[in-house]
Amino acid sequence: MSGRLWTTVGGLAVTAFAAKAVGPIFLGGRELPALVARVTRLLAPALIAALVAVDTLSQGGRTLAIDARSAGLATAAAALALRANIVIVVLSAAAVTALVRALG
Amino acid sequence: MTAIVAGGLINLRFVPMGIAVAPSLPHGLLSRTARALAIIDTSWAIARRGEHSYDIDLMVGASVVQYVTWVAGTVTGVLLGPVLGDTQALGFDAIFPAFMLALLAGELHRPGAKAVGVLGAAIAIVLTPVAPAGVPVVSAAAATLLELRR
Repeated sequence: MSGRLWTTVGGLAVTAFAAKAVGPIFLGGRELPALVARVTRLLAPALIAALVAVDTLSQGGRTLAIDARSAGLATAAAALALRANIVIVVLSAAAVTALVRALG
Repeated sequence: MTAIVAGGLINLRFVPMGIAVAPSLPHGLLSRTARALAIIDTSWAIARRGEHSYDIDLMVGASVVQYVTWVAGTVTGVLLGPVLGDTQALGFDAIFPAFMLALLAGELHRPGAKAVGVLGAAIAIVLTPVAPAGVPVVSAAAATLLELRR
């Protein structure tokens, strides 16, 4: 069992390293081709928005749900709109999520 | 093997992230590959400077700090987990998306960013019920193709 566990850990490390390195190895250290650069300009908002959406709405696996986390994220959004400090943003999201769970 | 394939799909999002940072990396093959291994979601998002530039030293530094705190946090969790009980009751699972939301808020002033962000989130949500974990997030990168119409 522990042999298989370490094989899995090793295999995952290799896939992670390969995924991270493939772009830099073939395209690194110089300007991107113009067409690629047009697309990568807004990769950050596309991927970050996707991570926020999935982490807020996915219940693990393939189930989606609007639950206490959504209330927490709405609170974070409101705190951001009020230009609150990032620590306040994160803690208010956790606190409201916990509160909604406690009430629900 | 199944676990490696499943985990590999989750790692796929590092491919577009790696392409995005590629121009900011140093010239040497070894030094840029080594720095690319420091790509993780949060560090990558924090290190974003201009539309085509990333602060690589900041990305590497943030990943080192997170690695240390991650390992320390895991040890703490194993030791204190039985005392803390259910961390979901404390809302800890909202911390990561709230932090990423704050980083997203810093991106939205860029021309076209709001539309791309909304489309990226929509792609990920639509795919979540039907695709294996990891595929929805990496597919959201396709939202940037909106840029080709501008």
